[in-house]
Amino acid sequence: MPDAIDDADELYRRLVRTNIDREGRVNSSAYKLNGYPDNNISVNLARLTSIDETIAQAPKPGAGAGSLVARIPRENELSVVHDPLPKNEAHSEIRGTNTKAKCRILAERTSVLRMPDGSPSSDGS
Amino acid sequence: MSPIALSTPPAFATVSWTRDVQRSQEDCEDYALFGLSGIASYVRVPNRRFVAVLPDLQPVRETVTSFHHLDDNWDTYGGRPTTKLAVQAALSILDGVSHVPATATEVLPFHTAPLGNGGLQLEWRQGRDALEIEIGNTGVLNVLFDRPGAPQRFEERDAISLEEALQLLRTFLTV
Repeated sequence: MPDAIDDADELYRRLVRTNIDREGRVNSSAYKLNGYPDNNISVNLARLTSIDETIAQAPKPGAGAGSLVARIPRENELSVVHDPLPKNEAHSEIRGTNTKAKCRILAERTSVLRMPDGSPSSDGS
Repeated sequence: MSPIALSTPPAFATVSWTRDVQRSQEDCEDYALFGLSGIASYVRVPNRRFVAVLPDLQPVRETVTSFHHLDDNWDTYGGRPTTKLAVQAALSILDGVSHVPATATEVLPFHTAPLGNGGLQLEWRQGRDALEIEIGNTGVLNVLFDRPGAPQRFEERDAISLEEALQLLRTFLTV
């Protein structure tokens, strides 16, 4: 049964090395799927999962994770809905007409919770 | 009296030019002899090689090329490796930007990233402003300006030519 997602709810997004810029911040590429702004961005609803679990869902080791508050996509004319999957109760989607500009806004408002392996700041430097 | 270019610099000429370049200053300067009131002095002046000095973009080229060798699902969301067409387009942009008369720091992309459909993106920064060139898997070029301090923060140009992209990039880096 889908949960209602509040504006203050945290969303987790998996990150890979190239999603992180040289200053350790999230780049807009994190919100592009198939090379274009993703109209169905997969995220996890934080209160139904954990950072470790979100990262463990990656098919290979080394991924990181970032956090975005649901209010941010909503302020940018995107919706946020809980969309549970059989193997991932926390699965949710940011939906709507995404653009390159919105990808940059989502990226700049995403906090890195766990640096992916190989990213500029993954070694703490 | 006009300056006289010398083929061999004098050992005591110590005036130095400062510029954010990674090549030897010696390659980029000529020496000239000036005479004034019977006193001769040497000064260094920039030559054509100074003007043409290039930043070292080779590491960026190698990074971009490496995106072609990514594994399937590299981004954990089903991403495909960057196509040869996209890599080639990126290399053409890097070749074009290498001649922009900006400092080496500015000419080097701030960030490069592969995109899941086999494309990639390059980003340059000028202060708080950013220019993002997104290259699709067929080599199509889209540009996004992000000027946080401007009344209209974002400006997009889609499906532009290489020449147009380079012109936008030159303007962005030199204005």
